[in-house]
Amino acid sequence: MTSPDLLSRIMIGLACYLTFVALVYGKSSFSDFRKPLLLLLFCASACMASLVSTWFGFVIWVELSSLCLAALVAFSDTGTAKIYFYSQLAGGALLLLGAAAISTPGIPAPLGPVSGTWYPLFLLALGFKAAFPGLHFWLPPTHSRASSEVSLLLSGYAVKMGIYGLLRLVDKPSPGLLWIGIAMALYGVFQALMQHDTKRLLACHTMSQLGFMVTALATGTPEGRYAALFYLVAHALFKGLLFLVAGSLEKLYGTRDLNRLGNIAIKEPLLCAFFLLGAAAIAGFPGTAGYAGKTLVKSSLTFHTAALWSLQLAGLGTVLYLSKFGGYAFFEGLRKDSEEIPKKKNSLPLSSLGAMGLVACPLLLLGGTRKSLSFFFGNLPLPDFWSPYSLGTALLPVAAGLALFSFFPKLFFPRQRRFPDVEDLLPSGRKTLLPPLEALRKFHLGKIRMYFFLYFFVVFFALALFSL
Amino acid sequence: MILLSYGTAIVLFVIGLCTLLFRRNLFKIVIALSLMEGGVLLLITSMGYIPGGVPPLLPLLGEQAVNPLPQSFTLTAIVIGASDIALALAYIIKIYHHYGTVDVDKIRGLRG
Amino acid sequence: MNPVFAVLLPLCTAFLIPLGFIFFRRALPLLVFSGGFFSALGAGAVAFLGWGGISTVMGGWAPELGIALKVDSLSACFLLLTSLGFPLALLSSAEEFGWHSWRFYVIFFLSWASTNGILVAGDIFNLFVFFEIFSVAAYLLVSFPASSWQAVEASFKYLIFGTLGALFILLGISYIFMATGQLNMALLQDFFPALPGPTLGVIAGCLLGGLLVKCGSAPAHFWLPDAHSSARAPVSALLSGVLVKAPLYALLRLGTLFFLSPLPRFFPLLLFFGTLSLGVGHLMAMQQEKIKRMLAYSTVAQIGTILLGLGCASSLGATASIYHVFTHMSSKMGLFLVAGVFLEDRHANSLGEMKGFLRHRPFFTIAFALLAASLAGIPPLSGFQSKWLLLLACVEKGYLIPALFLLGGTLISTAYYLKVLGAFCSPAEAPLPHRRPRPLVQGAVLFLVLLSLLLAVLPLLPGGKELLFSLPPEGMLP
Repeated sequence: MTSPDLLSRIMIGLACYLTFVALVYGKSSFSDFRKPLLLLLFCASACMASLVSTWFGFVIWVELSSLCLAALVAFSDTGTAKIYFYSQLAGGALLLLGAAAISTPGIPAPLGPVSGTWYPLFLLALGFKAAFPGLHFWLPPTHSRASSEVSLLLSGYAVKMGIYGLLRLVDKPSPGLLWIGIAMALYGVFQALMQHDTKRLLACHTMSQLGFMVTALATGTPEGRYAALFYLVAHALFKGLLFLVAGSLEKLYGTRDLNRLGNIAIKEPLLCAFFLLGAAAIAGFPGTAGYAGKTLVKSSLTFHTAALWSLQLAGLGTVLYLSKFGGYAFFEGLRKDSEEIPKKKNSLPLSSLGAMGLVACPLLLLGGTRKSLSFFFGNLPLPDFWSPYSLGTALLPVAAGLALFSFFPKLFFPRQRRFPDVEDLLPSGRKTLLPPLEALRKFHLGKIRMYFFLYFFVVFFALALFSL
Repeated sequence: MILLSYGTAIVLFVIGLCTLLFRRNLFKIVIALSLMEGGVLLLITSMGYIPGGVPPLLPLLGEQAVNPLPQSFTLTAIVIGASDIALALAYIIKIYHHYGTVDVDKIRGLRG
Repeated sequence: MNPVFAVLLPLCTAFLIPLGFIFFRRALPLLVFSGGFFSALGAGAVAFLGWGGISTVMGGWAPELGIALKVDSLSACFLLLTSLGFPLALLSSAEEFGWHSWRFYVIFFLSWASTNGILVAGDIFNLFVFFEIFSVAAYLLVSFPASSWQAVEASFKYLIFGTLGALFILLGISYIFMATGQLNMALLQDFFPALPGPTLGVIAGCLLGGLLVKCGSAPAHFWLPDAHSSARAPVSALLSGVLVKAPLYALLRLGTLFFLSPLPRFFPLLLFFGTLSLGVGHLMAMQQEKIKRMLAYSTVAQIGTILLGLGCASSLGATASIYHVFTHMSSKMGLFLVAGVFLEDRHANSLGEMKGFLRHRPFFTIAFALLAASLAGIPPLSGFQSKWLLLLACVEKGYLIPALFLLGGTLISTAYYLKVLGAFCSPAEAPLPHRRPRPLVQGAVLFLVLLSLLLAVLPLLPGGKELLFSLPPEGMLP
């Protein structure tokens, strides 16, 4: 293992910070030692995954971290934990195959770019982790049904390991990946707009933000890669904050459904402030880390106008869904009557608030000063953050989104039922797999004469094959 | 002469094979195994034949004895076959006690 | 050291046991255990001293006339396997069966002697004779005690199938003798390239057909789930862990000696059967409700994995196979022993009834979890390491579909082992009866867990990697 470079150091720092926040947030809800132990194991394996310098080592540590996370998810919902675990295992297995394909025995393959024939296999494998469209079926259910600190780690770090793998894999411009990124960004935002479950909404949006990162790194330029890296960190922070807010809402009111929440801003001002900060960061309001990230991504895409406009569209969608979340949860609400939503708990424990504060601070710090950014970027010239052009392109989606939302509120009503997604194909997939398995089982019927027939057939086949 | 031996061996083997596949009585299956084994052993013994050879017993009655090595294999294999068949017959008795039949298509308690 | 001691010591013990039962009944346990101890010691000594290669001929005859015994690194490695596996099974069966059934111990030691005989045989007819003793002992072990109709039916089907296989092996050997006039394996190696095509093909077909049945690989695997699930637990552990490896050794030995250069098509067919076993084994194991039957189908799948490595026809593939042989032995023996303990505690017919074992017998449940994780291929345990080497071997030769099957097998086996563990760890609905203390089985399982962990770190130890890579027989392609 060589000494870690900037990418690895940032990933390790992010892992440790997020695990710390998760531990602080969940301090009051841990009943025994199992959850903290799993969180620490996750942190350890995530750090090791960022430190190793071979694909083989990377696969091992990523699989172990997925195992820890799946165990953590299983505390809330075992079915979802199984979906998550098996999909990650499938991705890991394909990645292992790729690592085997490119290494010669005795010399493990270094964690770096991969030549032609095996490149698609690596993309497919990392796509399971980074939620490429089609392979993303595990993301919405897992991130929404896990408890908040686990969702924080899932959205904040686990999917980023796929992006880390892609950052190591891709060093040239890659048009295919660019289109995948655009598709992810747009599809994620579309799904997010259709949800009425707060956490699921945030989970679908994660896919969209991953699209931003994938698009940025698909340009192949150093600016693009650094933009993806910065956006990775920024997204971990603001998505983490929003997940913690949604989780706190769930803890206080016992529901995640936007149909039933409302008018909370007055009762929980601190929570509302955190939400507004996170929302502003995601939307790209100047002064926050999100703004810096979005500007960096856009500046790296100056030559890819289609991508640029798609991301602007995705930004518009982001503002729309955030307004939907904020509007229906914190402000107006659908409850025009004065009936209060029953509170399950009186107030949030201090640890939760402290955790949210811990996540909120870097959001402001990273966005504001140039010094913090140059820590990330070394010697690259930074785009001018305060030029009218950057401010304009950032504020345009925000303004357009807010305008759309206020003029057409009915369009963004929370739906009553769930909007279909790829994961609905899973039960039918399972049903189609059953008959062949039953047939195989019936084939072993215990009739020894049938076994003899089969055996002799095989022997004569072997004889014929060898002698002719 | 030697071809007749080989031919007989193959015919025995094939008869045994067909009995194994098409007959349902457990005893016939065991007999089929015995037939197949007989065929193979006949093949082995025949291959040691040297034209004009005499039995490999001292003092030799002629000039050259047939190859004694296959004959020793055959003796060993006969012993092995006998123990296999004895064991099979013992199992058939036990199976009959449980199932009440020696029809192999009905002996399907373990499946799936 | 004459390799015959590996065979002689268990054989003598087997013949002394009836005498011991008649004359010194009180001393029977001592006789059995000391016999086991000395047999293991003897075989281990043969293995260590013979690592560099020993070749003797019994009776001082010339090599083409006499019974040759040969030990090299491959045989020594497998002798080590039997020296570890048989004593553990002996301990567990002593606890399971007690001392009234002395016939069991006679058969046990006969099977030990014959397995060692297969491993040290240097000429091909001797191999066949030891194979037959091994098979008859296995049939008897499966059906012990004959009070269970499942065991007798399973043993009968095993017998018929096994005898068929033996007949094909005998045919193959007789054709070899017909074509070359030779039976010594080392000398035969030079005769084979000169044989005409059809002859070579018939020999290969007969040998392959016969050995496939004995291994329990896919088209001929139907006896294996019945036999391994109907036998009593220590016998199942022995069968799955050790006895099924001897035919694999024979396949490796005969394949590399005879067919490596003259008939290269032998190995892709082996690969095909291995892949088929993998698929059938894992898919059937997933659907089983009884633990022992599930573990037996898992054995079929693991045999497929080992055949996958053999079919790659490279020294990396052979190394991976041998490593997997050891991994599978340590895991599967432990799994069967634990399953036996649990089934004795609660006579359940389906997985849904086997609950509450985490509280009832925590050591065994944790051992089961660890060994199952190793077998399924969870890093960094030994099963993962052997699967990685197998992946490397497959991809090196360009066999992608078997590699995908291997990875799919990891996923499916994780699924069914998790199902079993979930059942074990969930709280019990009905209270479990008192637990009979099982010190010997506990010791055996602990030893197997330690062995599995040792195998996991073996490639990391200094000299471990060289040890692994020195195992395949010479003449294998790099």
